[in-house]
Amino acid sequence: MKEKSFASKLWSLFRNNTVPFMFIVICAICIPISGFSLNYLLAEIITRIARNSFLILSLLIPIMAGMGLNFGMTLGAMAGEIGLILVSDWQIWGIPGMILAMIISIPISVLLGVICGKIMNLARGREMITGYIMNYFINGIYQLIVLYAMGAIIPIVHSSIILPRGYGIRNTVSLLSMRQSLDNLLAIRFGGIKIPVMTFVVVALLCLFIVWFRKTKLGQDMRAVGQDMEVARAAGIDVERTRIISIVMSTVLAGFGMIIYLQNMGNLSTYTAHSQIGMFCIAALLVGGASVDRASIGNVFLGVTLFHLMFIVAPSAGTVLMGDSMIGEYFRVFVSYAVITFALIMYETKKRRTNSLAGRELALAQKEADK
Amino acid sequence: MKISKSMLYKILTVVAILILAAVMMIIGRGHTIYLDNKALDNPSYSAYYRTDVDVKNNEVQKLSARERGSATFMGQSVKVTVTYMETKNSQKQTETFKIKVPYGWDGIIINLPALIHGEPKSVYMSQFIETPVETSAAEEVVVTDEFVVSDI
Repeated sequence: MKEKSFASKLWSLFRNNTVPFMFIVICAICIPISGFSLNYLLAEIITRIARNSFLILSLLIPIMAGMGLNFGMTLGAMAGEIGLILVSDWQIWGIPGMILAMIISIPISVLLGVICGKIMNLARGREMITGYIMNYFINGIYQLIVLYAMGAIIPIVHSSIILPRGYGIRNTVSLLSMRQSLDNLLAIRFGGIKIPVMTFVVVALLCLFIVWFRKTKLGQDMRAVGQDMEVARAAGIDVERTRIISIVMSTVLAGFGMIIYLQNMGNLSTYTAHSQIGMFCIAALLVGGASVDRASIGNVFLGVTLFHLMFIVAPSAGTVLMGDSMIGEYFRVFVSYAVITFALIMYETKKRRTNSLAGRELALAQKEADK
Repeated sequence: MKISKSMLYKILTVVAILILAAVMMIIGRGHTIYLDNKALDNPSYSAYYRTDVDVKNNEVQKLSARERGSATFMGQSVKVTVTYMETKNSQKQTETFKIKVPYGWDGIIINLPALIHGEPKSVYMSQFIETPVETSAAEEVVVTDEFVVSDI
């Protein structure tokens, strides 16, 4: 009896964490094939955890408020990029440059977050697809600003940033003056691996903020709205306002996250850097075992580790297996889309199963009451 | 008009953020300093036989006569320590200068002989104006395609 219970527990653990288990298997197969040393993999993973965690953590607050995976985080990423372009032109370097870019991104992120939140309130129940399409809409406006307004209306002085025609921003903006300025601050080397202590401190502070925020009045309101909007409204919570605040917070944090991400990279692809960031962050979170309505800080770190491990080893494994690294490149992009699809199907199936179970229990209760 | 406590906090937060932005703009302003060990015509100074220049961030530049060194720094002033020999056989001398730089200048040229001889700022300091690279508009095609396979 005891053995059966253990087996059922194990099955339940597997059923609830199918995606992480799947990724553990993929990584376990690909790591030996890729031929990378443990030291190299560890160094890469540490770099990528530092680079991506802040962005992924920005997704937690809308999930708490029941708004699902915030595809609209890309809007914050665009705000961060605008901040970085301006700071690069003003020649503000290093950590002060990062802080100034973050300050510039705040009003842009707030504005975009409010617009996104209001639209999401109108499209209740379809927040994710709304956020996804909003990206395309705002990306158009972003490109209009960056491609035509910068240099023509917004003063941009430096020829290294502006296109030769006199307006518009070049395809790539160098962030050499602030490259890894946060990562190198208090960085330590351990066994040849660089540990960006300050970046981890910043990520840890955000984790602490999220833990603290959950316990505040607004955090409790968000959780109540996430569980049941009608009950929350009956309890006197301004549901619409709470949802907008959650999206604004996520967008602002995504803007900060994008700046941390790009300072690590050391250059900014003006027109494409933000385009897939939302997709990859969401995929990483889902790989960590999160779902549309439930995500934790643990999911972020497990997800970023497994997803990026796959990202590192897949091209090399593809080269060994097929003789072409592009197979691995396509594989990792295909897997990230597949994970999101799989997670959405799982969520829907689970929701229907729960609803059907609740319906059956209600019918049974009614039958018994009739008797 | 009475301002509520929460409104006051909001205003104070915005003011604090603006002050922080202003501070960042000052302390984070990056400059490139070009150090010339070159002769000057008016007033007339000849270049030193040898100079060792130490800039704020300990980038030591060893400059012979007619040579130019460069260093980068953040902020509105820079401490420059110059160890120089006027001729091959003369004694080494060391002097330290704190140079304030104009905010709007990206590149600053410092003429070391004029600086050491205590000339005014207008003599030893001039703006370095970068010659823009001649490129045609066709040379850079803007790519706005978001469906690119890239690393993250």
